[in-house]
Amino acid sequence: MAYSDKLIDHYENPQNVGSMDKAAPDVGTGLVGAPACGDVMKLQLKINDDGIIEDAKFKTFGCGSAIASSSLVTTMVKGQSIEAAEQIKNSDIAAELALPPVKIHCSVLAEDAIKAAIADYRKKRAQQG
Amino acid sequence: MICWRCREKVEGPLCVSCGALQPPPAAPDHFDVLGLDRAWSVERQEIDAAWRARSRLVHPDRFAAKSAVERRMSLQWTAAINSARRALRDPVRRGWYLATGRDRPADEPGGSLDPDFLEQIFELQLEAQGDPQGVAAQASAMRDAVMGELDARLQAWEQGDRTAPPTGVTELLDRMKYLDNLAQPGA
Repeated sequence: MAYSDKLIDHYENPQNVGSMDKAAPDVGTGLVGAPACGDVMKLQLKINDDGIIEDAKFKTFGCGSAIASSSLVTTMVKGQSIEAAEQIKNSDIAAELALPPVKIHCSVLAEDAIKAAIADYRKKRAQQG
Repeated sequence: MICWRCREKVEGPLCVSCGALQPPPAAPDHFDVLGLDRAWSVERQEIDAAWRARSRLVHPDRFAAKSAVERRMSLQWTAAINSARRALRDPVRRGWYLATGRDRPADEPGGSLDPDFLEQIFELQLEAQGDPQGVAAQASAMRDAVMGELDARLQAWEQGDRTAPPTGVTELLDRMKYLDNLAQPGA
């Protein structure tokens, strides 16, 4: 089975690996996992007052496709509004990386991570009043 | 069931009256297919032995010279017993099958897992980069603890009439793979 160049590139040179301060009010953190394969993915988004994603960092423990999916996602959401980021579908990620069918769930995990990070950010904002 | 060829009553894959292979059940239950009781406490060797016994009855080699109908049934039976063996042999898979009545697909996406547990796994993964052996030992102990709880719950379920599926076990089963990955890095 051949993996796409784009997938291999994101796996070998992952973009935006790292972490941000989980407690910061402008940072949303999404931590998601896939019980069937045991992969864990953490995605953090730094969002400004205009609702624009200024920065994104990720750390994924899992297979190459999970790492590539999360790396790609950070590059897709940077500079986007929250609303635009929320529209990203796992099928967009899968198509971009040409994920084989058995790895589609990795893109689902990445989509879940975006949604979880945004939900965390919104919850923080709501708590601040 | 009635034998499709001689109209006698049958139980199991072969008709005792005429020897004809019977069609496998349409929605096969893994335990039924192997002729086993629905149970949690079953040794791997018992499953293998049941599989071997059934395999001898339904093996395609035995039906090579028979009708097309029986050749097809033989292949269907073989597929069914192989799936059953795969699903029941491993305790985690067997627990999942008992609780949900289905096989867990290898690519099933996320479930709803306790966020604190996931956080703990993430922290252990970070720690494992510096101290893989220490983390492996810790994860291995956690795995044993989860397995112990799972075993206790499923044994309690086994004491009952076993009509309803066991409850409260999928969440424990969901933890196993994360801990396995940490307990056996690179496996």
